[in-house]
Amino acid sequence: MEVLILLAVVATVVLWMVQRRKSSREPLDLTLAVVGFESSGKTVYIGSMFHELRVPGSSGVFIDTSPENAGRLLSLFNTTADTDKKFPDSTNKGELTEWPFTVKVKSADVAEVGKFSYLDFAGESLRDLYAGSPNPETRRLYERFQGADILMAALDGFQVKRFLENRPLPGFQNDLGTLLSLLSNHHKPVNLILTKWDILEDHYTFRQVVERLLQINTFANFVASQRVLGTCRLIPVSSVGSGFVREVGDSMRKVPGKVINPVRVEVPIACALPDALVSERRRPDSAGRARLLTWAKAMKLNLGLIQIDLSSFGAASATITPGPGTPAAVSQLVRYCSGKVDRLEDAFPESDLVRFLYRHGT
Amino acid sequence: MTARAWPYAVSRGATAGYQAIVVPGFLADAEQAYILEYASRQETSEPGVVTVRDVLGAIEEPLSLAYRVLEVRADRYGLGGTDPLEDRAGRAIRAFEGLVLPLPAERVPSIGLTAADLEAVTVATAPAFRKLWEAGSRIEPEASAALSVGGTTGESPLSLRISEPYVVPGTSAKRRPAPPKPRPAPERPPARPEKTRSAAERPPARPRRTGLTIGVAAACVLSVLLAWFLFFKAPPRSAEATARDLCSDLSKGDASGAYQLSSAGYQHRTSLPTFKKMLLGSNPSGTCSPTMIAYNQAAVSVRRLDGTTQKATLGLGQPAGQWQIISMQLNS
Repeated sequence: MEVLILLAVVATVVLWMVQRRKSSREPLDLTLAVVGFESSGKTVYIGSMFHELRVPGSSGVFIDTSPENAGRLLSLFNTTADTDKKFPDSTNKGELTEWPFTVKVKSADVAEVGKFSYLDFAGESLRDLYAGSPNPETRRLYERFQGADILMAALDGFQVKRFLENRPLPGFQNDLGTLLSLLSNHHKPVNLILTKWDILEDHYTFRQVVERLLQINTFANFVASQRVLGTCRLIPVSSVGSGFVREVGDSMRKVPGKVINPVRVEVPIACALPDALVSERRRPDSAGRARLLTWAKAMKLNLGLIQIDLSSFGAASATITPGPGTPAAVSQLVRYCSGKVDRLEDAFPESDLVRFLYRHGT
Repeated sequence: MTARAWPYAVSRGATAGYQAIVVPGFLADAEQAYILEYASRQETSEPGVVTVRDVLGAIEEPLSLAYRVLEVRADRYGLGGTDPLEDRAGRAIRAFEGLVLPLPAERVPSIGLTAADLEAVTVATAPAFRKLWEAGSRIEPEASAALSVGGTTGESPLSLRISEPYVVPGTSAKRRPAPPKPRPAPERPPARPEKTRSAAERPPARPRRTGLTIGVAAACVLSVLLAWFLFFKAPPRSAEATARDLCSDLSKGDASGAYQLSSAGYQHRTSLPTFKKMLLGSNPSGTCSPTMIAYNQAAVSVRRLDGTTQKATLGLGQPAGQWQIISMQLNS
């Protein structure tokens, strides 16, 4: 009898240890959903983002996907880059796609450190979510959004520019309200991607853009409500680079012969990990599982102290650093992400909307 | 052989997104017009190919779609000019034009659809498309009347490609594998990313082994595991290596990386911008080499890009088991 009890105790201990080791080996696995209305640039963005991140730089961090998906994404990018061709086709409702990516780090070896999937869909489906009778497809889409670890919203830079010019395109405020309403039902971090920055930057400073957006009550209220989750960033990106397109009336056209040069397309992805960790640390998910925190603990990451900025009425930030036992590849990834966040905040201090709102008001 | 079929179309305007603009009345009445929007997706860019797929779980069964995808030219729908229509991002406007058939997809090839059948769809669709284009926003879809299609002899039949069925979410309909293609067609790699699958469609997780087997085995491997744990513990980094890494990061302009070599306590007291300013001023990078002046102190002299030099004494400690910068004293 004693032997059986001893065996049971030993088995329990070993099972716990094995499980612990197993969880520490499990790579990070995140679902990112990028929401945004039609023509906001979601599909072009994913092509440019993959193109920029598929080859490692000095950080060694890069992303990979299956050869078939890589071919399709590069085809999207090549179509975008070719000034003799139109932009890639807009996404129809039936063409909802989940792109799976693997995050890898190259040093002496190539290590797989995480996975994420990117949900691309027809932006107009968002409107159906708030139509009189949502159909099963929109309900399913809504569940996908709710299940995402990180939501990112694409704000169409072209529409924002028209708004700044005091001639907003029809439906701009309604669509923005719908977008923010959708995001408000999500209890995880949300970052806003300001697409088409190339057509804005010659006319407006980033601060001007932020200040004008915060003059929209629903926008300011949304940002204020995100305080509880930590940060809410507005990240200016250009999937094509400066001078690649020009405005023709209420539309945009490629400039013949221009060379594509995407700007900051990797930053929204890089911000996702630290922002999600900070958010989960402040507010573990409702099921109490705190999956990201478990991963961070297994990777022995030092999440630092959450620094509550009293001048910002509770806006939070934290420095995430590798710990003594953090695997080298994860350390490289964390350094890469933190570096991108730092550079964004250096170049665009207003990008942390929560902090900006409370420090400067509108 | 002929069959009864209803024209349908899904398209978009210059600023309005995709929507069904022509739908069979029975689908509209059942609030299932959305099926046409989600079941119509471009499977190939080959011109002239008609995609055929089953719709499972709709109000009526059997039901299938046969549609083609066109890049719309203005004159096709009676709009002025012959230019291809574009949205405001300069992208081609696509139209998914086709027929809703009360047949299983596998029987569609046998009815002998012809180009004339699909041209009849264009005629039925044109008024709704013009309305959509001029409205600039979503329109109410128009109901289509049934046509008699197929059965024409003498005309060359259309190139049909049977694709995966569309299953209405939340229904108990089961996917059937797509039958073989009715005629040879040039192979295109599918090159499609993973389509989304609901949790219910995913294979169930393998049950975990539990109980006595693991317990007995575990007792045998416990000592091995413990040794393994100890063996794989990360070797400690030296104080000198930490100081060297600091200089390496500063020379690469990676102030963030250098900052991450400091302890949590130090970071709590000193922000990254302050840390960066202390060592680099307004310079993006600087070079240095550390000199150990005690087992837990290193002196560094950072030569910045602008030619100025900043000396500092680093206090090093192991608050979290590994050598980190715990203090920094600037020297004039």
